[in-house]
Amino acid sequence: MSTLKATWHHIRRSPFQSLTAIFVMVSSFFILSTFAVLSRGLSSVLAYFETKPEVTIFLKDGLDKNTVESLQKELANYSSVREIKFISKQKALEIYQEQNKDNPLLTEMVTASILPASFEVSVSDPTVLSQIAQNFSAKTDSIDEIIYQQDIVQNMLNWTNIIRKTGLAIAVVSALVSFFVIFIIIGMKITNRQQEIQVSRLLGASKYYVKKSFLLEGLIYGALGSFLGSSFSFSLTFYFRNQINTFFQPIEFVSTQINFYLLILLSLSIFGLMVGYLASWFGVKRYIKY
Amino acid sequence: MRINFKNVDKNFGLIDALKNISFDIGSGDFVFLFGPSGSGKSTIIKLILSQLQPSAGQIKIGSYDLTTASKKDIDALRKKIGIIFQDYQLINDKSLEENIALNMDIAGFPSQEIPSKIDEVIKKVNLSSRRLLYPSQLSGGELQRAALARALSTDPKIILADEPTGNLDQKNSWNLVNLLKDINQKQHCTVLMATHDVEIVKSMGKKVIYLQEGRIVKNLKLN
Repeated sequence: MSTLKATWHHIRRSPFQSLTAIFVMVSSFFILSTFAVLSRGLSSVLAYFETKPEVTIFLKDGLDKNTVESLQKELANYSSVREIKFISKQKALEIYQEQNKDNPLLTEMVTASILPASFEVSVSDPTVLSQIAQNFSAKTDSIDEIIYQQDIVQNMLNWTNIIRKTGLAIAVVSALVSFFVIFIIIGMKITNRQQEIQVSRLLGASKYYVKKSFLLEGLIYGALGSFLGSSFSFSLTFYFRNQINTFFQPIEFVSTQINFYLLILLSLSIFGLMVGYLASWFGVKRYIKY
Repeated sequence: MRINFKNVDKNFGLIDALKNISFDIGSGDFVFLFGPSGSGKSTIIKLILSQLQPSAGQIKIGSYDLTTASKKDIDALRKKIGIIFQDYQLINDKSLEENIALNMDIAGFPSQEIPSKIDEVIKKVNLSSRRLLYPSQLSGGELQRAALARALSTDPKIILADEPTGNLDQKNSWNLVNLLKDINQKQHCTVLMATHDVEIVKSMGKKVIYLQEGRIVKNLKLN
């Protein structure tokens, strides 16, 4: 009798225990996969804000060229200023049109005259940002508004860290729950099959012979649970990707690259196999004494 | 395969289950272990199977010295022994043919040889019509013949039968004993049968090891 056949026999003889093991693994890996997607999305949001200019200074309408140039020079005098980009009203319109190219109604109604010109300033030392923001906000005659990106990035970073840590904690708890459920179910199955194990040992079966079908059973729960859980999570994510990405526009929160999902699926399947194998290994070590 | 016990003792705490047991069973012999309940018959069977370790003395089964044998050697030895228990010890959720197939798989038979061998042994014990039934669907006599079929499936060098007729009526007991005798003659495998049934022992005219309170009181041939 092949090991696979013996394992299938064990699964068939106690289907509810097997279904419980698989259900717990599917649930755990659904949560794990969802957090992997969420984590990747949060990284995209962070990366988006980090690559944006860290201070945007909107200018009042009707400033002459000299005033704009003197403001630019003043900005350039700050140490650690990496880049100063002047966005004219016309350029602002182009950006607006590009961002809303799918919605002609919005682009038709907007002209360059209603959009403000601005400076986008990025720095290498974030501490300079507060000085720039403070000094320029005092220039009420020429400055309309200052958007201080550092606050947004810091807030995002804090939230991302909280969500990642929560995700990691849930992942660890899920993996532990899966481990113990498989451990207990394999233990119950071994207890139910004590007579078969004892007789097999008397007939000359090695310890490994009686253990291997239970080890394979744990591997099957791990592989099947992780694959189904992750696949279910990714299918849902992929199905709703357009709605999610539209909500986070212009950030691509949900990846549309199939390789990303395949890589995560492979990694989680290997992790699932490891959880299943380790749980059943501890189970047979604990319960098979002959 | 020879079975040799030399000055074997077995104690369970302060209780002496076996005391200074020595005997030699030659390859192809049919021997009865005879004695009342508690005389040590099952302990000798368990010692041969290495389920128990002797407290003193030496046990040799073929080329295996059980006092020094490794776990691997013991597994290898058990594969050469066919066992029949009083309570059959068939696996309840496997059919008769699955029980036999399991034994053959443990013994390392190639999977393509298993079905034809199952046919052969099931025919030998006259259970062809019962091969797909589960132990709970078989009668006592059928169960014991099923256990014999399982024991025979690996062409064992030794058959150990521990009170195999204990749960059987007279007719089924004789059927089983005659089958064992037939197998012993045709296949020349050593048969060691523990029993307390004096009628069976007397009528067979085979060598008898007579045990009482853990000691051999007679080692003779009864007619």
